[in-house]
Amino acid sequence: MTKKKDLQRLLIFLGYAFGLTWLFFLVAVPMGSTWSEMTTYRQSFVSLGMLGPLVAHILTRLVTKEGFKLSGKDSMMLGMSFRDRKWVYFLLALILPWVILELGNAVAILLCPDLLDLNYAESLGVDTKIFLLQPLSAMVSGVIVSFAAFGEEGGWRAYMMPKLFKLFGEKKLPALIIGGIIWGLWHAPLTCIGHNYGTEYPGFPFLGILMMCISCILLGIILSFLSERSGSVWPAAFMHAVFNAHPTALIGLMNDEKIDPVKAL
Amino acid sequence: MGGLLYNAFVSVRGKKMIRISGIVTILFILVKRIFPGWRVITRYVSYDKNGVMTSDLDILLSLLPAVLIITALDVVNIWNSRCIESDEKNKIRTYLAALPLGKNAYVASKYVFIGITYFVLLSLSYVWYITAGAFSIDAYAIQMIDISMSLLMPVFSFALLISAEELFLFLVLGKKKAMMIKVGVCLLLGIAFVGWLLFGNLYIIEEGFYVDKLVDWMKTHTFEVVLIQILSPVISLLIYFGSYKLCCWFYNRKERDYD
Repeated sequence: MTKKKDLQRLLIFLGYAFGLTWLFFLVAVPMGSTWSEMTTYRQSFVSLGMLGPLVAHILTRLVTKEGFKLSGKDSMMLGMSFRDRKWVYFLLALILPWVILELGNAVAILLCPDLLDLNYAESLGVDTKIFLLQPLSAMVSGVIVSFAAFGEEGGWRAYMMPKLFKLFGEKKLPALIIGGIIWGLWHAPLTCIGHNYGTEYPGFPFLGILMMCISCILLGIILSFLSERSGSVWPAAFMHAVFNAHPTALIGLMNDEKIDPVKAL
Repeated sequence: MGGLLYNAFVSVRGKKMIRISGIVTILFILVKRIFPGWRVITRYVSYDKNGVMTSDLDILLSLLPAVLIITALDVVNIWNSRCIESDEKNKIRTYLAALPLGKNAYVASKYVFIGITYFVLLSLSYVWYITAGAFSIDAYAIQMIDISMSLLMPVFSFALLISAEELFLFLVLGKKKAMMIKVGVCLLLGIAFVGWLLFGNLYIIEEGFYVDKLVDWMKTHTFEVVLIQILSPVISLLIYFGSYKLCCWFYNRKERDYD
């Protein structure tokens, strides 16, 4: 009975999360334009759709009368505690995106040495020191301007994942995989206009959607771990925000215009 | 802690404020989405010598977020005193003594509440500027939005510093004494400003206060701009935390004397 109720609530949440956000994308994205054709401000405006899952979470709680408990079991996970070494998860949330992205870039350079261009920053006319500051800048802005990432995590990590964990009981992996797929599919309208992977790749847009689902599964595992262990949605929100701010210094040495990604693969 | 935060929220009429800011945000998005200025109201559109489209309406609407932010920051500044004034009036300290709360919980609740308010306001400010930028066509308006957005962090850091100092004064000295000090400082600053207007070198305004100069400086000193954006919130947050710790120490000493 409880499982059936949880499933119903989850479906209501997903209905709101997908419906509201996709409707917003429909209104916000200029008809027929791709991600790269939009101005930076228009891209940021479209990104405000990230607040959709949080709104869906609040609406679902209103409809299902689950209450608005701030912290603890079955809560909105909005509390923040640094006791019992929980501060470690906050620290991990800030540092992990940097480590992951730098490792990713290092692997990319190792696999494709043509990417390395020591004069790339200069050729762009950008002060090289700015690239050195980029990880720190991303961490600070990730924490302070984390409202958009909080919008997503406030829905996925604070509502969807606890419900999925309840539905699957002891088996955490299927819940994480399904959660990642749902999260990846939610991005589909943006992937279809070229966000993340562009529009010029073989298998567009289906391969992009598949790739997004895979990355969401992998990132979702770390984010769920952080929010479950800390009992708060904030470490996940901070990590998501820092990740979106691209905390990498190596990017200033990587000239991707020199290589053809398909040939490189 | 949740109860104390709710108490602070009620004392500043938080629900009303949320409703007002929500309505303002939705209205602003609708105005910018439905009336992007350059497209609908053609009499506000003109072309410069190079044939670039300019719109007075765009420029006017790009200034609106700054007006909203200054108003909101003033309101938050009033909240610093209002949430403590309401507690003094209702003798909250007597009730708190009977509750199983940590000795720093009351002071922490005030600092956390004002911190959350700044976080929400900063987020709203970004929403307003992003909306203004997304539907603007005028290059000058977009340039002004760029500058304003890069100034958001330093402005909010400064506002947080003022709150760190005001909360400390209001909690430690009480509303009356703190207000006297605040008025005294404002008067001193006012007198200093009038003195400068009367006897100072006013040519500085004429020579150095152009927006274009600021724009040029920001364009040529990108590293410094990024550094200010990173350091200003970090330093002000550290000072805010220091103010909280110091306030706890003084407040507990005051409580001991009170007992």
